[in-house]
Amino acid sequence: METATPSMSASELDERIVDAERHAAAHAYEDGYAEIVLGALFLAIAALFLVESRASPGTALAGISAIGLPVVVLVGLLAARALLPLWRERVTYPREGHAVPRRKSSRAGKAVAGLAAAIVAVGAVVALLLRPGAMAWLPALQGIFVGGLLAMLGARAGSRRLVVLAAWSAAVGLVVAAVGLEDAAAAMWLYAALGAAALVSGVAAWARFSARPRMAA
Amino acid sequence: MPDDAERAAIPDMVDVDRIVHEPARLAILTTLYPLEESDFVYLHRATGLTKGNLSSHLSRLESAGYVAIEKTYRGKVPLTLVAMTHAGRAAFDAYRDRLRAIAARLPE
Repeated sequence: METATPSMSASELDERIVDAERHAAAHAYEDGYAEIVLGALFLAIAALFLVESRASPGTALAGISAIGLPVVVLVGLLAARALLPLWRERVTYPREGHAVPRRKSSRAGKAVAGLAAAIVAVGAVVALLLRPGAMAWLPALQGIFVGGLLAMLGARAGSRRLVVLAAWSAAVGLVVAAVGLEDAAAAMWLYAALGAAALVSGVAAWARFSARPRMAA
Repeated sequence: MPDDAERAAIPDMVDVDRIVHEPARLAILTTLYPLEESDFVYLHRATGLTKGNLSSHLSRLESAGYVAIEKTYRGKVPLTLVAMTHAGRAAFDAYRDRLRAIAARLPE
């Protein structure tokens, strides 16, 4: 083994590893595609609730979200899963490269997180069903839940945009709940506001990303 | 005059792994450490090394068994994938431990 004298301290090296880790996590969100896809999905959900809120009571359209919501979410997620890699392979990776961060969380950790989320969700549903009038706060819960997910992603990726979107989600959820709209109209406004914000944020990120100079060889 | 602790740290300083220690290779390994794998373009941007320099240091790391390089195609475009091996990760961890041990022995 060749040897030499060290010039960098252990703490400096640790800091650089943390920087490299943050850079890799942020890399997945730099092109704005994730927010554009999320924005489009939220706007599709908003469109569904718009149809429901405008439908006459008793018609099939009045209950469209019960069937349509899982379909829109499932189709949206499958389409995103199929299209995002294709999009990035053609545009993002040739410009900025591609990195796959190491997975840290164990299966046990994921199971505990899933169980905790399920308990919180069931608890919230039971609380909503037991207290008359509590359903009016469902948009606030949805906004806070989506905001929590965005905040977790934002913290992991060191992305200020995602943290701002998280705060926006919680704020919009609370405002929509406080206004006291009918269920479908409240959900429509919540997801429209979230979708529009995510789309604007994603397009702005994409514009900044595509304006970056390419590196010389 | 160095005291006993400083004297004890000096052989450790001389005995670090030079394959890891070289600044460009240290930058490459530091970038790869938190990753499963990356392509050449990502490493090029993240380290700021020129393509030629990066290529030559990657070859050095590959011949030491510290990284695995796979040359393939993405569509019709050549693609070079780089991943740290178990040996590379162990060497990098040993290098970090050595730096910590030296730092602990030196006076503040």
